[in-house]
Amino acid sequence: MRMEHLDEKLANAYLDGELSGEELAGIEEHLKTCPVCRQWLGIYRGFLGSLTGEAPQWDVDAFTAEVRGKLELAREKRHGAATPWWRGAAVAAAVLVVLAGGGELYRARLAYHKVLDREVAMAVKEHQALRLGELSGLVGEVRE
Amino acid sequence: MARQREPANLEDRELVRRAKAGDQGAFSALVERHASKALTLAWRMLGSQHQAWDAAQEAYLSAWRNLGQFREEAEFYTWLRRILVNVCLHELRQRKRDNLVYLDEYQHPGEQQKIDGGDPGRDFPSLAAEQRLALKKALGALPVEHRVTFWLHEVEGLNYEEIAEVLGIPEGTVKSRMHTARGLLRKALEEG
Repeated sequence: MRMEHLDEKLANAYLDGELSGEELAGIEEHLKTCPVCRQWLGIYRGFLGSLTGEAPQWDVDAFTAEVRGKLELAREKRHGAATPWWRGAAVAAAVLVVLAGGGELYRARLAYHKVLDREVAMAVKEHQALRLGELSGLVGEVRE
Repeated sequence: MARQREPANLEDRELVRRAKAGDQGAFSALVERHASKALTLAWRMLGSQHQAWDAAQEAYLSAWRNLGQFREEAEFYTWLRRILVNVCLHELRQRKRDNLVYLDEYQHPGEQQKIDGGDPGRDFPSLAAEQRLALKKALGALPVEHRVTFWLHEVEGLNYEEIAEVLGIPEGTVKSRMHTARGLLRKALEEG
């Protein structure tokens, strides 16, 4: 078979392994003498080979575990994930503890503020007394 | 007393039978057995390891939900692959950035080395890194349907009939897409 270059149709048929007999022999003969077609086929096949060989390393165990976990979740959802009675009781108890703790905290804070207020008031009084003392001293000095 | 065989030692068909009866352990064995192939296929289609991970998980969960519909005329993995390809296609169409290929993720350490072409190109210039890059770019620029067809045929090794079944399109369309894809790759190489 004499041909300029493999046309697309023939090249595809060749790559897909659809040719046989005379057609196949003709193409193989052509490839022996045509560097252009031979190069394209070589590059194309090299490209495919490089694609086939590349793949990341997968953590199959982690993947399987995640799928298993999601299946479990889906099953729980489907079965309504019945909440055991003790879980509700535990939540209620936790809320009470928090509230009680909160009350304690509030009372402690109140007491602290009372002490603080008293101390501030005393400090202000002391400051005022000092200022008064200073002032009366100054007045005395001026009079003298 | 006869001991029950571990799921890992059972054939796919037996695992499917058990999984259909609600045995999650049997299904997990199926997941583990085919995970690597499924993840790699998704990675090739999506170009991202993270998205491949999610897509493969979605495919497995969908398989679990629809296990009752699996008639076991095909192998389990063939059925799973069909689900997975459609999950990936959905993802690709949703992205609206079909021309984007994750070259950085496709890049592997040995990739800069020259790769030998197969026969009959064995005694001709090997695939240079620039040629490979040009072809990869061209592959990434193909329309989604053409790219997926290319991967399934040239890399996964599915024939046109199988691809037609997976994608739910006529065989002639698969062939036409494949020829267009090859033509565009050749053109890209000639122009690059």
